[in-house]
Amino acid sequence: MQKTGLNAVLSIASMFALGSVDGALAEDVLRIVNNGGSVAEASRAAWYEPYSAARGVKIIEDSWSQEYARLRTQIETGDIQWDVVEITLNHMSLACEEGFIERVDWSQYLDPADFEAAGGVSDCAVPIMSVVGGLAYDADVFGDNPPKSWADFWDVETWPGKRGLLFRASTLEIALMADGVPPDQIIATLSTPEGIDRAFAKLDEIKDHIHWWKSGAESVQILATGEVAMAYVWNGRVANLNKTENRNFQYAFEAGFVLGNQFLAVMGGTPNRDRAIDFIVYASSAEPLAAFSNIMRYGPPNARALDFVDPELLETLPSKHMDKAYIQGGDAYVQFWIDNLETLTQRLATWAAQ
Amino acid sequence: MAVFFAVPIGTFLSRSVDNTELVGMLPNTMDAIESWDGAGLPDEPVFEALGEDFLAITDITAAAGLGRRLNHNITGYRSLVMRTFSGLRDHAGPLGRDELIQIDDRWGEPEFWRVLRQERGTFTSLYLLASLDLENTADGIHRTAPENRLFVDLLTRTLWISLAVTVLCLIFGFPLAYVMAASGPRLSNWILVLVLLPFWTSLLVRTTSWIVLLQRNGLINQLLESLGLIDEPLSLIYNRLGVYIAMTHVLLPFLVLPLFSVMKGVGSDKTRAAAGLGAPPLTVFRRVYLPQVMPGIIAGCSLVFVLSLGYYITPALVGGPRDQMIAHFIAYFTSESVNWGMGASLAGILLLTVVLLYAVLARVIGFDRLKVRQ
Repeated sequence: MQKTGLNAVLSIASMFALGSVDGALAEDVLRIVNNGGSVAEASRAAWYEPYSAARGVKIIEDSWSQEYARLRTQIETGDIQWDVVEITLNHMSLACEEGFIERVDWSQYLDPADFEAAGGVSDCAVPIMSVVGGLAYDADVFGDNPPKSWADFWDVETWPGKRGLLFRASTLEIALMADGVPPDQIIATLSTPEGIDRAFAKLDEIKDHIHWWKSGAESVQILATGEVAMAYVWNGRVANLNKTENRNFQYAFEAGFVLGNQFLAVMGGTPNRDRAIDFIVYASSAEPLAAFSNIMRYGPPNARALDFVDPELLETLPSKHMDKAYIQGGDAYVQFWIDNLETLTQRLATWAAQ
Repeated sequence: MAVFFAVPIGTFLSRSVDNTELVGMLPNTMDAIESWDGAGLPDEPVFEALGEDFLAITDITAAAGLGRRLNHNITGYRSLVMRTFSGLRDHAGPLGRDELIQIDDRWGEPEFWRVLRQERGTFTSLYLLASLDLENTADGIHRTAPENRLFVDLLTRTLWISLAVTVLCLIFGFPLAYVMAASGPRLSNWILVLVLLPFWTSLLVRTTSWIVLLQRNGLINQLLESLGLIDEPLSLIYNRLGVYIAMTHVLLPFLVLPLFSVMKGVGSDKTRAAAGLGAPPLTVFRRVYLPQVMPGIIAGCSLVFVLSLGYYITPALVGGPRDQMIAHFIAYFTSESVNWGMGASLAGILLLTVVLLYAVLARVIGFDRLKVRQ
């Protein structure tokens, strides 16, 4: 890969931005990038501070919104700014293949069997939180006759009001779930042109009732203000909303839900590889993971962590409802989305604008 | 100026036609495919050349780069490349048509070969065509399938929204700037502070406060309902109306400030003279005042228009899917999907459109009037 003028400029800019850090980089510093927001706060309390205290390592945080270009430019310019990367499944698979994150033989450090139920560890990364995307509604509004399935979500006659859906191509999976496609057939169905048409046809049914949300904050805001009657949202957000605003939103796990893992990976080419592995092994072990789930309602991907989770919170975690889970993962899933993400993103935008 | 401005932008824009990465990775194939006429499948030597090129790829990162590049032409090419690469890892013996098709039968489909033939040059038209909702297939250049036509619509929408916001800013900004210029220093300073106040608050805060005001159960709907003016809440946000309101508010200072500074410099002697000579007020305004403040109007409007073209956070927050602007997709291709060819191409087309618009504008009203004169 050739170094271009753009990259040169970017690397000069980042040298200025991180000048002080570069100078101080030594064994006792670990640079972690996370997704920011409330997840970062929980990560700090559950992982960074205890790890820092136990190992005497200073942790330097950065945040990103999964802009893949930021990984790529660091590798291309050789100016590595991170040691540990919090990363989503699709980006993780792509980055692993392209060599932007390190391959690690995790079985040397932990027992992969502990992570099997949640989708397993990969060649490059360890799952660190299982984020649930599912159906949420206001129990104060639909208390007598709550929606119980994705078919109900589509039924705007019985349950009037707008529907919040995530404005991303992955929502096509939800459309197929609502159309009665069993979870293990979703990717096979989407892999055919007819399957894609079928998903769009399902979305057509409620097109005028959809409020497309683009950020996690927006998803709960439209629920809280009554802009939508029900929505596809991430479970941690709903739990927080109930807690902070004293509301009564219910999460219909029984309707079926999507389980997507966030991973921790070692940044490609980092001089701090051993320290990064040590941190990931620590964070993914039972007690720190449980500590995280006690703060943020995302499921611990390590089955052993469940013993340490506050029993009262277990019901609000996906771990109790795994028979209804559609786990995003596996080779076919990842390959499909890496190939098709751009095309389907464009098609969804075209469809939604018509 | 040349180093810090022209070079980075030029380098980035050149990515919209740059094809050297692909040609560099498949040198033998690109040579061999020259002799193929594009009908049916290519001859055995082309398969062998591709096999040779694949065997020369040593690391998976390079293979992934090749796959990513070809996936821009045909969805699925990436997995074809990756499967071929891993299928050849322990390969020994002859490598031609039978072996490649055995690894992945898509090598037996002509469309994947046509892409290689089409992309054999140092430059590619793929991204520029795609930005105009066109594609180059076996039977020539034609429009993409209706369900994928996005970018022409997106560009016209972007221009339309920017134009509408500019007009709205002028409608609200002109009287405001006039009052500021005409009133005494005390009042004028207060208005200036009020105009600048939102200017100093973060874009996100300003946009979010519009959400609070305009949403379904927001303040405005509650007020109208309690007054009995409406029965059902109005849709004031998450549509085009919300985008116009929020963007006009955010961009208003950019029109008011240059206009105010020009109006301030215009004395009242000429307008008084015109009135004294018997011109009715409308004529005084139209023929005497307006020409004098025209540089301020043009400067303010150009500023608002150009800034509007690049907006995407505000439309994303207060608009619906029918109100997304082109910058949203430039950002998507540049930082999220890392399709820099596409990002550069869309940015280039936007830049070209603006330059053309300005050329037309300069022709119509004259270049010197586009500058603010003291």
